Amino acid sequence: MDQDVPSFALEVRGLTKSFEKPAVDGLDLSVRTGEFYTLLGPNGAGKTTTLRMITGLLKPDRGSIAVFGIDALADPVAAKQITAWLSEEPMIYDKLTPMEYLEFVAGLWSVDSRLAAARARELIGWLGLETHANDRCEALSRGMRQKVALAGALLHEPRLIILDEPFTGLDAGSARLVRSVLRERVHAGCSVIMTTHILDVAERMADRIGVMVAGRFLAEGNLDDLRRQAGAGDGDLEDTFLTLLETGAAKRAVVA
Amino acid sequence: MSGRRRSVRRAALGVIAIALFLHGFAYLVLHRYGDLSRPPDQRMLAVVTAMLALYGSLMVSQAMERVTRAFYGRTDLDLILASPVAAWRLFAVRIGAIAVTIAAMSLALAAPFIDVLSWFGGVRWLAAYGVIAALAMVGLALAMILTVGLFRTIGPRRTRLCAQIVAAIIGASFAIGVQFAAILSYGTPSRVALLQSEALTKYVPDVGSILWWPRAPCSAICSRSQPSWALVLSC
Repeated sequence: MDQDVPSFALEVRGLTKSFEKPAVDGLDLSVRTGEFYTLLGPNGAGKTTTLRMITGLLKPDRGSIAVFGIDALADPVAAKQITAWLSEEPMIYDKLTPMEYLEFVAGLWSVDSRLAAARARELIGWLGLETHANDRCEALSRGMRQKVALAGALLHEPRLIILDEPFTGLDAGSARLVRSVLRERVHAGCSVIMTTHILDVAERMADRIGVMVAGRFLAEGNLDDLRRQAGAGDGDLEDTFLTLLETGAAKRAVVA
Repeated sequence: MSGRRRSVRRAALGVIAIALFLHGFAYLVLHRYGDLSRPPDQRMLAVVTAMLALYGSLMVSQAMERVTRAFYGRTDLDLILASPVAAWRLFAVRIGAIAVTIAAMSLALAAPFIDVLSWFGGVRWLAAYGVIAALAMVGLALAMILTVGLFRTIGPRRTRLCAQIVAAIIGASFAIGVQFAAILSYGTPSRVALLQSEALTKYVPDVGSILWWPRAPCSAICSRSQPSWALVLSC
Protein backbone atom coordinates (compact mmCIF):
# COMPACT_ATOMS: atom_id res chain seq x y z
CA MET A 1 0.00 0.00 0.00
CA ASP A 2 1.17 3.55 -0.72
CA GLN A 3 2.87 4.98 2.37
CA ASP A 4 1.12 8.37 1.93
CA VAL A 5 -2.32 6.81 2.10
CA PRO A 6 -3.61 6.79 5.69
CA SER A 7 -4.50 3.29 6.85
CA PHE A 8 -7.87 4.52 8.07
CA ALA A 9 -10.39 6.10 5.74
CA LEU A 10 -12.55 7.06 8.69
CA GLU A 11 -11.81 7.42 12.37
CA VAL A 12 -14.61 8.41 14.71
CA ARG A 13 -13.93 8.87 18.41
CA GLY A 14 -16.46 9.46 21.20
CA LEU A 15 -19.15 10.62 18.79
CA THR A 16 -22.21 11.80 20.69
CA LYS A 17 -25.48 13.35 19.58
CA SER A 18 -28.68 13.84 21.52
CA PHE A 19 -32.04 15.08 20.35
CA GLU A 20 -34.72 14.56 22.96
CA LYS A 21 -32.75 11.50 24.14
CA PRO A 22 -29.27 10.26 23.18
CA ALA A 23 -29.20 9.11 19.54
CA VAL A 24 -25.49 8.34 19.33
CA ASP A 25 -23.67 7.72 22.58
CA GLY A 26 -19.87 7.99 22.61
CA LEU A 27 -19.36 5.91 19.46
CA ASP A 28 -15.86 4.83 18.34
CA LEU A 29 -15.67 3.62 14.76
CA SER A 30 -12.81 3.00 12.32
CA VAL A 31 -13.05 2.09 8.64
CA ARG A 32 -9.85 1.01 6.93
CA THR A 33 -8.76 2.20 3.52
CA GLY A 34 -10.28 -0.08 0.88
CA GLU A 35 -12.70 -1.62 3.35
CA PHE A 36 -16.43 -2.26 2.93
CA TYR A 37 -18.05 -1.58 6.30
CA THR A 38 -21.71 -2.14 7.10
CA LEU A 39 -23.68 -0.69 9.99
CA LEU A 40 -26.59 -2.81 11.15
CA GLY A 41 -29.15 -2.19 13.82
CA PRO A 42 -32.85 -1.95 14.50
CA ASN A 43 -34.77 1.23 13.66
CA GLY A 44 -33.72 4.11 15.91
CA ALA A 45 -30.32 2.58 16.68
CA GLY A 46 -28.53 5.77 15.57
CA LYS A 47 -27.11 4.51 12.26
CA THR A 48 -28.40 7.32 10.06
CA THR A 49 -27.56 9.96 12.68
CA THR A 50 -23.99 8.62 12.77
CA LEU A 51 -23.68 8.79 8.98
CA ARG A 52 -25.21 12.28 8.83
CA MET A 53 -22.63 13.51 11.35
CA ILE A 54 -19.79 11.94 9.37
CA THR A 55 -21.12 13.60 6.21
CA GLY A 56 -21.27 17.00 7.90
CA LEU A 57 -25.05 17.30 7.78
CA LEU A 58 -25.39 17.19 11.56
CA LYS A 59 -23.14 18.72 14.16
CA PRO A 60 -22.10 16.29 16.89
CA ASP A 61 -22.49 17.30 20.52
CA ARG A 62 -19.09 15.75 21.25
CA GLY A 63 -16.43 13.65 19.60
CA SER A 64 -14.10 13.77 16.62
CA ILE A 65 -14.33 12.65 13.00
CA ALA A 66 -11.32 12.20 10.71
CA VAL A 67 -11.70 11.37 7.01
CA PHE A 68 -8.39 10.15 5.56
CA GLY A 69 -6.66 12.07 8.33
CA ILE A 70 -8.62 15.29 7.71
CA ASP A 71 -10.44 16.64 10.77
CA ALA A 72 -13.96 16.76 9.32
CA LEU A 73 -15.22 19.09 12.04
CA ALA A 74 -12.39 21.61 11.69
CA ASP A 75 -12.13 21.45 7.88
CA PRO A 76 -15.46 20.15 6.56
CA VAL A 77 -14.88 21.42 3.02
CA ALA A 78 -11.71 19.34 2.59
CA ALA A 79 -13.44 16.28 4.03
CA LYS A 80 -16.50 16.72 1.81
CA GLN A 81 -14.27 17.04 -1.26
CA ILE A 82 -13.35 13.34 -0.95
CA THR A 83 -16.62 12.04 0.48
CA ALA A 84 -19.84 10.93 -1.18
CA TRP A 85 -23.23 10.75 0.54
CA LEU A 86 -26.27 8.90 -0.67
CA SER A 87 -29.34 9.08 1.54
CA GLU A 88 -32.15 6.56 1.70
CA GLU A 89 -34.46 8.79 -0.30
CA PRO A 90 -32.12 10.90 -2.39
CA MET A 91 -33.51 14.05 -3.88
CA ILE A 92 -33.06 14.51 -7.57
CA TYR A 93 -34.58 17.37 -9.51
CA ASP A 94 -37.64 16.17 -11.42
CA LYS A 95 -37.31 18.61 -14.26
CA LEU A 96 -33.71 17.73 -15.06
CA THR A 97 -32.54 14.79 -17.15
CA PRO A 98 -30.00 12.41 -15.55
CA MET A 99 -27.24 14.02 -17.62
CA GLU A 100 -28.29 17.52 -16.51
CA TYR A 101 -28.48 16.35 -12.89
CA LEU A 102 -24.96 14.93 -13.10
CA GLU A 103 -23.77 18.19 -14.66
CA PHE A 104 -25.28 20.08 -11.69
CA VAL A 105 -23.65 17.73 -9.17
CA ALA A 106 -20.31 18.09 -10.97
CA GLY A 107 -20.64 21.84 -10.46
CA LEU A 108 -21.10 21.38 -6.71
CA TRP A 109 -17.80 19.49 -6.52
CA SER A 110 -16.09 21.81 -9.05
CA VAL A 111 -15.33 18.92 -11.41
CA ASP A 112 -14.10 20.16 -14.79
CA SER A 113 -17.09 20.12 -17.17
CA ARG A 114 -15.45 18.01 -19.91
CA LEU A 115 -14.16 15.47 -17.40
CA ALA A 116 -17.57 15.45 -15.69
CA ALA A 117 -19.37 14.79 -18.99
CA ALA A 118 -17.07 11.83 -19.73
CA ARG A 119 -17.51 10.38 -16.23
CA ALA A 120 -21.26 10.96 -16.37
CA ARG A 121 -21.50 8.99 -19.64
CA GLU A 122 -19.39 6.22 -18.13
CA LEU A 123 -21.52 6.00 -14.95
CA ILE A 124 -24.77 6.17 -16.91
CA GLY A 125 -23.45 3.23 -18.97
CA TRP A 126 -22.36 1.23 -15.90
CA LEU A 127 -25.72 1.70 -14.25
CA GLY A 128 -27.68 0.80 -17.38
CA LEU A 129 -29.35 4.17 -17.75
CA GLU A 130 -28.31 4.92 -21.35
CA THR A 131 -31.83 4.77 -22.74
CA HIS A 132 -33.05 7.24 -20.09
CA ALA A 133 -30.08 9.60 -20.10
CA ASN A 134 -32.10 12.36 -21.70
CA ASP A 135 -35.51 11.70 -20.12
CA ARG A 136 -36.65 13.96 -17.33
CA CYS A 137 -36.10 12.38 -13.90
CA GLU A 138 -39.81 12.74 -13.07
CA ALA A 139 -40.47 9.95 -15.58
CA LEU A 140 -38.02 7.53 -13.94
CA SER A 141 -38.92 4.72 -11.57
CA ARG A 142 -37.70 4.74 -7.96
CA GLY A 143 -34.93 2.28 -8.78
CA MET A 144 -33.73 4.36 -11.70
CA ARG A 145 -33.77 7.52 -9.60
CA GLN A 146 -31.71 5.69 -6.99
CA LYS A 147 -29.20 4.77 -9.68
CA VAL A 148 -29.05 8.37 -10.95
CA ALA A 149 -28.39 9.52 -7.39
CA LEU A 150 -25.65 6.89 -7.02
CA ALA A 151 -24.08 8.11 -10.26
CA GLY A 152 -24.17 11.63 -8.78
CA ALA A 153 -22.47 10.39 -5.62
CA LEU A 154 -19.67 8.72 -7.57
CA LEU A 155 -19.11 11.47 -10.11
CA HIS A 156 -16.35 13.29 -8.25
CA GLU A 157 -14.52 10.00 -7.60
CA PRO A 158 -14.84 10.04 -3.81
CA ARG A 159 -12.46 8.08 -1.60
CA LEU A 160 -15.05 7.51 1.13
CA ILE A 161 -18.55 6.52 0.04
CA ILE A 162 -21.29 6.79 2.67
CA LEU A 163 -24.58 5.09 1.84
CA ASP A 164 -27.79 5.00 3.86
CA GLU A 165 -30.00 2.08 2.81
CA PRO A 166 -28.92 2.17 -0.85
CA PHE A 167 -30.82 -0.99 -1.76
CA THR A 168 -34.25 0.11 -0.58
CA GLY A 169 -36.72 -0.08 -3.45
CA LEU A 170 -34.31 -1.62 -5.93
CA ASP A 171 -35.36 -4.65 -7.95
CA ALA A 172 -33.06 -7.70 -8.03
CA GLY A 173 -31.33 -6.68 -11.27
CA SER A 174 -30.72 -3.11 -10.15
CA ALA A 175 -29.50 -4.28 -6.73
CA ARG A 176 -26.98 -6.61 -8.39
CA LEU A 177 -25.80 -3.78 -10.63
CA VAL A 178 -25.35 -1.41 -7.68
CA ARG A 179 -23.51 -4.11 -5.73
CA SER A 180 -21.12 -4.68 -8.60
CA VAL A 181 -20.47 -0.93 -8.98
CA LEU A 182 -19.73 -0.63 -5.25
CA ARG A 183 -17.47 -3.69 -5.32
CA GLU A 184 -15.58 -2.21 -8.25
CA ARG A 185 -15.11 1.04 -6.31
CA VAL A 186 -13.74 -0.86 -3.30
CA HIS A 187 -11.34 -2.77 -5.57
CA ALA A 188 -10.23 0.60 -6.91
CA GLY A 189 -9.24 1.60 -3.35
CA CYS A 190 -12.34 3.43 -2.12
CA SER A 191 -13.80 2.77 1.30
CA VAL A 192 -17.51 2.27 1.75
CA ILE A 193 -19.63 2.60 4.88
CA MET A 194 -23.22 1.61 4.45
CA THR A 195 -26.35 0.96 6.49
CA THR A 196 -28.82 -1.68 5.41
CA HIS A 197 -31.65 -3.82 6.71
CA ILE A 198 -30.96 -6.40 4.00
CA LEU A 199 -28.73 -8.77 5.96
CA ASP A 200 -28.02 -10.95 2.94
CA VAL A 201 -26.36 -7.98 1.21
CA ALA A 202 -24.38 -7.16 4.34
CA GLU A 203 -23.20 -10.76 4.69
CA ARG A 204 -22.06 -10.97 1.09
CA MET A 205 -20.45 -7.57 0.75
CA ALA A 206 -19.09 -6.37 4.07
CA ASP A 207 -15.52 -6.88 5.24
CA ARG A 208 -16.61 -5.83 8.72
CA ILE A 209 -19.97 -5.23 10.31
CA GLY A 210 -20.93 -3.05 13.25
CA VAL A 211 -24.16 -3.83 15.10
CA MET A 212 -25.60 -0.74 16.76
CA VAL A 213 -28.28 -0.48 19.41
CA ALA A 214 -29.28 2.70 21.24
CA GLY A 215 -26.40 4.70 19.78
CA ARG A 216 -23.65 2.23 20.78
CA PHE A 217 -21.96 -0.80 19.32
CA LEU A 218 -23.31 -4.07 20.53
CA ALA A 219 -20.75 -6.01 18.50
CA GLU A 220 -18.24 -5.35 15.73
CA GLY A 221 -16.06 -7.38 13.41
CA ASN A 222 -16.35 -9.85 10.54
CA LEU A 223 -19.02 -12.53 10.55
CA ASP A 224 -16.85 -14.96 12.55
CA ASP A 225 -16.18 -12.28 15.18
CA LEU A 226 -19.89 -11.53 15.43
CA ARG A 227 -20.73 -15.23 15.77
CA ARG A 228 -18.20 -15.51 18.59
CA GLN A 229 -19.57 -12.43 20.33
CA ALA A 230 -23.12 -13.73 19.95
CA GLY A 231 -22.21 -17.31 20.89
CA ALA A 232 -24.48 -18.31 18.01
CA GLY A 233 -22.53 -21.16 16.50
CA ASP A 234 -22.36 -21.36 12.70
CA GLY A 235 -25.56 -19.48 11.92
CA ASP A 236 -25.83 -16.97 9.10
CA LEU A 237 -25.75 -13.23 9.70
CA GLU A 238 -29.50 -13.07 10.31
CA ASP A 239 -29.28 -15.64 13.14
CA THR A 240 -26.21 -13.97 14.57
CA PHE A 241 -27.75 -10.51 14.37
CA LEU A 242 -31.00 -11.57 16.05
CA THR A 243 -29.11 -13.42 18.78
CA LEU A 244 -26.99 -10.34 19.40
CA LEU A 245 -30.09 -8.17 19.70
CA GLU A 246 -31.73 -10.62 22.09
CA THR A 247 -28.71 -10.97 24.36
CA GLY A 248 -28.14 -7.23 24.19
CA ALA A 249 -31.74 -6.56 25.19
CA ALA A 250 -31.46 -9.07 28.04
CA LYS A 251 -28.25 -7.44 29.30
CA ARG A 252 -29.85 -3.99 29.17
CA ALA A 253 -32.87 -5.29 31.08
CA VAL A 254 -30.57 -6.70 33.79
CA VAL A 255 -28.71 -3.38 34.05
CA ALA A 256 -32.01 -1.48 34.23
CA MET B 1 -47.40 32.84 -36.86
CA SER B 2 -45.86 29.93 -34.93
CA GLY B 3 -47.75 28.33 -32.01
CA ARG B 4 -45.11 29.49 -29.54
CA ARG B 5 -45.28 33.08 -30.71
CA ARG B 6 -49.05 33.01 -30.57
CA SER B 7 -49.04 31.78 -26.97
CA VAL B 8 -46.48 34.44 -25.98
CA ARG B 9 -48.70 37.08 -27.57
CA ARG B 10 -51.75 35.75 -25.76
CA ALA B 11 -49.89 35.76 -22.44
CA ALA B 12 -48.73 39.34 -23.04
CA LEU B 13 -52.29 40.46 -23.87
CA GLY B 14 -53.52 38.69 -20.72
CA VAL B 15 -50.96 40.51 -18.56
CA ILE B 16 -51.89 43.87 -20.11
CA ALA B 17 -55.62 43.19 -19.56
CA ILE B 18 -55.03 42.25 -15.90
CA ALA B 19 -52.82 45.32 -15.38
CA LEU B 20 -55.50 47.59 -16.90
CA PHE B 21 -58.19 45.99 -14.75
CA LEU B 22 -56.12 46.42 -11.56
CA HIS B 23 -55.36 50.04 -12.43
CA GLY B 24 -59.08 50.66 -13.04
CA PHE B 25 -59.89 49.06 -9.70
CA ALA B 26 -57.24 51.17 -7.97
CA TYR B 27 -58.71 54.29 -9.56
CA LEU B 28 -62.21 53.40 -8.34
CA VAL B 29 -60.88 52.89 -4.81
CA LEU B 30 -58.72 56.00 -4.69
CA HIS B 31 -60.58 58.67 -6.68
CA ARG B 32 -63.07 59.33 -3.86
CA TYR B 33 -60.32 60.53 -1.54
CA GLY B 34 -60.13 63.90 -3.29
CA ASP B 35 -56.90 65.80 -3.75
CA LEU B 36 -54.08 63.31 -3.31
CA SER B 37 -51.41 65.92 -4.00
CA ARG B 38 -52.20 67.89 -0.86
CA PRO B 39 -49.64 67.80 1.98
CA PRO B 40 -50.33 64.74 4.12
CA ASP B 41 -52.54 65.27 7.16
CA GLN B 42 -53.00 62.98 10.16
CA ARG B 43 -55.70 60.92 8.45
CA MET B 44 -53.69 60.31 5.32
CA LEU B 45 -50.64 59.35 7.38
CA ALA B 46 -52.75 56.97 9.49
CA VAL B 47 -54.20 55.27 6.40
CA VAL B 48 -50.81 54.96 4.64
CA THR B 49 -49.18 53.62 7.83
CA ALA B 50 -51.98 51.10 8.36
CA MET B 51 -51.74 49.93 4.75
CA LEU B 52 -47.97 49.50 5.09
CA ALA B 53 -48.49 47.57 8.35
CA LEU B 54 -51.01 45.36 6.56
CA TYR B 55 -48.57 44.76 3.71
CA GLY B 56 -45.74 44.20 6.16
CA SER B 57 -47.67 41.57 8.13
CA LEU B 58 -48.58 39.74 4.95
CA MET B 59 -44.93 39.83 3.86
CA VAL B 60 -43.76 38.44 7.22
CA SER B 61 -46.34 35.69 6.92
CA GLN B 62 -45.24 34.78 3.39
CA ALA B 63 -41.57 35.01 4.31
CA MET B 64 -41.96 32.72 7.34
CA GLU B 65 -43.55 30.04 5.20
CA ARG B 66 -40.76 30.29 2.63
CA VAL B 67 -37.93 30.50 5.18
CA THR B 68 -39.26 27.36 6.88
CA ARG B 69 -39.23 25.53 3.57
CA ALA B 70 -35.80 26.84 2.54
CA PHE B 71 -34.09 26.25 5.90
CA TYR B 72 -35.80 23.20 7.33
CA GLY B 73 -37.28 21.27 4.40
CA ARG B 74 -35.14 18.29 3.49
CA THR B 75 -35.62 18.77 -0.28
CA ASP B 76 -32.19 19.20 -1.86
CA LEU B 77 -30.39 20.46 1.24
CA ASP B 78 -28.79 17.06 1.87
CA LEU B 79 -27.29 16.99 -1.59
CA ILE B 80 -25.94 20.52 -1.48
CA LEU B 81 -24.82 20.59 2.15
CA ALA B 82 -22.96 17.29 1.70
CA SER B 83 -20.95 18.95 -1.08
CA PRO B 84 -17.98 21.27 -0.52
CA VAL B 85 -20.12 24.31 -1.38
CA ALA B 86 -20.10 26.72 1.58
CA ALA B 87 -23.43 26.61 3.41
CA TRP B 88 -23.53 30.41 3.80
CA ARG B 89 -23.49 30.79 0.02
CA LEU B 90 -26.41 28.46 -0.42
CA PHE B 91 -28.46 30.22 2.22
CA ALA B 92 -27.46 33.68 1.00
CA VAL B 93 -28.74 32.82 -2.48
CA ARG B 94 -31.95 31.31 -1.10
CA ILE B 95 -32.59 34.26 1.23
CA GLY B 96 -31.98 36.64 -1.68
CA ALA B 97 -34.42 34.68 -3.83
CA ILE B 98 -37.07 34.81 -1.09
CA ALA B 99 -36.58 38.58 -0.72
CA VAL B 100 -36.94 39.12 -4.47
CA THR B 101 -40.04 36.90 -4.67
CA ILE B 102 -41.76 38.59 -1.75
CA ALA B 103 -40.92 42.08 -2.97
CA ALA B 104 -42.06 41.20 -6.50
CA MET B 105 -45.38 39.76 -5.28
CA SER B 106 -46.06 42.76 -3.08
CA LEU B 107 -45.07 45.22 -5.78
CA ALA B 108 -47.29 43.49 -8.32
CA LEU B 109 -50.27 43.99 -6.03
CA ALA B 110 -49.34 47.50 -4.93
CA ALA B 111 -48.17 48.85 -8.30
CA PRO B 112 -51.63 49.81 -9.64
CA PHE B 113 -52.36 51.80 -6.48
CA ILE B 114 -48.94 53.48 -6.52
CA ASP B 115 -49.32 54.35 -10.20
CA VAL B 116 -52.77 55.86 -9.70
CA LEU B 117 -51.59 57.74 -6.61
CA SER B 118 -48.59 59.18 -8.46
CA TRP B 119 -50.74 60.08 -11.50
CA PHE B 120 -53.24 62.03 -9.42
CA GLY B 121 -51.17 62.91 -6.36
CA GLY B 122 -47.73 63.68 -7.72
CA VAL B 123 -44.42 61.96 -8.22
CA ARG B 124 -43.75 61.69 -4.45
CA TRP B 125 -46.02 58.63 -4.36
CA LEU B 126 -43.52 56.74 -6.52
CA ALA B 127 -41.38 56.54 -3.39
CA ALA B 128 -43.79 53.81 -2.31
CA TYR B 129 -41.98 51.40 -4.66
CA GLY B 130 -38.79 51.85 -2.65
CA VAL B 131 -40.68 51.69 0.63
CA ILE B 132 -42.32 48.38 -0.29
CA ALA B 133 -38.99 46.88 -1.45
CA ALA B 134 -37.43 47.96 1.87
CA LEU B 135 -40.44 46.59 3.74
CA ALA B 136 -39.90 43.21 2.04
CA MET B 137 -36.33 43.10 3.35
CA VAL B 138 -37.44 44.05 6.87
CA GLY B 139 -40.27 41.51 6.69
CA LEU B 140 -37.86 38.79 5.63
CA ALA B 141 -35.40 39.65 8.39
CA LEU B 142 -38.21 39.52 10.95
CA ALA B 143 -39.46 36.22 9.53
CA MET B 144 -35.97 34.73 9.81
CA ILE B 145 -35.64 35.86 13.42
CA LEU B 146 -39.06 34.39 14.25
CA THR B 147 -38.43 31.10 12.44
CA VAL B 148 -34.94 30.56 13.86
CA GLY B 149 -36.30 31.54 17.29
CA LEU B 150 -39.04 28.92 16.97
CA PHE B 151 -36.46 26.33 15.89
CA ARG B 152 -34.30 27.04 18.93
CA THR B 153 -37.25 27.11 21.32
CA ILE B 154 -39.41 24.20 20.23
CA GLY B 155 -37.01 22.14 18.15
CA PRO B 156 -36.93 21.08 14.52
CA ARG B 157 -39.92 18.74 14.53
CA ARG B 158 -42.53 21.26 15.56
CA THR B 159 -41.02 24.32 13.89
CA ARG B 160 -42.62 23.82 10.51
CA LEU B 161 -46.17 23.41 11.78
CA CYS B 162 -45.75 26.18 14.33
CA ALA B 163 -44.22 28.56 11.79
CA GLN B 164 -47.17 28.01 9.48
CA ILE B 165 -49.64 28.70 12.29
CA VAL B 166 -47.73 31.79 13.46
CA ALA B 167 -47.52 33.00 9.85
CA ALA B 168 -51.27 32.59 9.40
CA ILE B 169 -51.96 34.43 12.67
CA ILE B 170 -49.61 37.29 11.78
CA GLY B 171 -51.03 37.51 8.25
CA ALA B 172 -54.64 37.52 9.30
CA SER B 173 -54.67 39.20 12.71
CA PHE B 174 -54.00 42.77 11.59
CA ALA B 175 -56.44 42.75 8.67
CA ILE B 176 -59.19 40.98 10.59
CA GLY B 177 -58.52 42.95 13.78
CA VAL B 178 -58.97 46.33 12.09
CA GLN B 179 -62.04 45.11 10.23
CA PHE B 180 -63.52 43.71 13.45
CA ALA B 181 -62.96 47.03 15.23
CA ALA B 182 -64.58 48.89 12.29
CA ILE B 183 -67.67 46.67 12.40
CA LEU B 184 -68.03 47.02 16.17
CA SER B 185 -67.49 50.80 16.18
CA TYR B 186 -69.15 51.92 12.97
CA GLY B 187 -71.20 49.01 11.71
CA THR B 188 -69.19 48.99 8.46
CA PRO B 189 -66.60 46.46 7.26
CA SER B 190 -64.51 49.31 5.78
CA ARG B 191 -61.11 49.46 7.46
CA VAL B 192 -60.46 52.90 5.94
CA ALA B 193 -63.59 54.30 7.64
CA LEU B 194 -62.13 53.33 11.00
CA LEU B 195 -58.65 54.62 10.15
CA GLN B 196 -60.10 58.01 9.14
CA SER B 197 -62.52 58.33 12.02
CA GLU B 198 -62.36 61.20 14.51
CA ALA B 199 -62.09 58.70 17.36
CA LEU B 200 -58.86 57.24 15.98
CA THR B 201 -57.44 60.50 14.64
CA LYS B 202 -57.28 62.01 18.10
CA TYR B 203 -54.77 59.29 19.07
CA VAL B 204 -52.69 59.72 15.90
CA PRO B 205 -49.53 61.79 16.48
CA ASP B 206 -49.48 65.30 15.11
CA VAL B 207 -48.14 65.80 11.55
CA GLY B 208 -44.99 67.41 12.94
CA SER B 209 -44.23 64.48 15.25
CA ILE B 210 -40.85 62.74 15.03
CA LEU B 211 -42.76 59.48 14.59
CA TRP B 212 -43.59 60.53 11.03
CA TRP B 213 -39.97 61.14 10.14
CA PRO B 214 -39.86 58.25 7.63
CA ARG B 215 -42.25 60.21 5.39
CA ALA B 216 -39.77 63.10 5.19
CA PRO B 217 -37.74 61.67 2.30
CA CYS B 218 -40.92 60.97 0.36
CA SER B 219 -42.01 64.56 0.80
CA ALA B 220 -38.54 65.71 -0.16
CA ILE B 221 -38.96 64.00 -3.51
CA CYS B 222 -41.75 66.44 -4.16
CA SER B 223 -39.29 69.27 -3.77
CA ARG B 224 -36.87 67.42 -6.14
CA SER B 225 -34.22 66.92 -3.49
CA GLN B 226 -31.57 64.62 -4.97
CA PRO B 227 -30.54 62.56 -1.92
CA SER B 228 -34.17 61.84 -1.15
CA TRP B 229 -34.29 58.54 -3.07
CA ALA B 230 -31.37 57.22 -1.07
CA LEU B 231 -33.20 58.22 2.09
CA VAL B 232 -36.35 56.47 0.92
CA LEU B 233 -34.45 53.25 0.35
CA SER B 234 -32.63 53.53 3.66
CA CYS B 235 -35.98 53.83 5.46
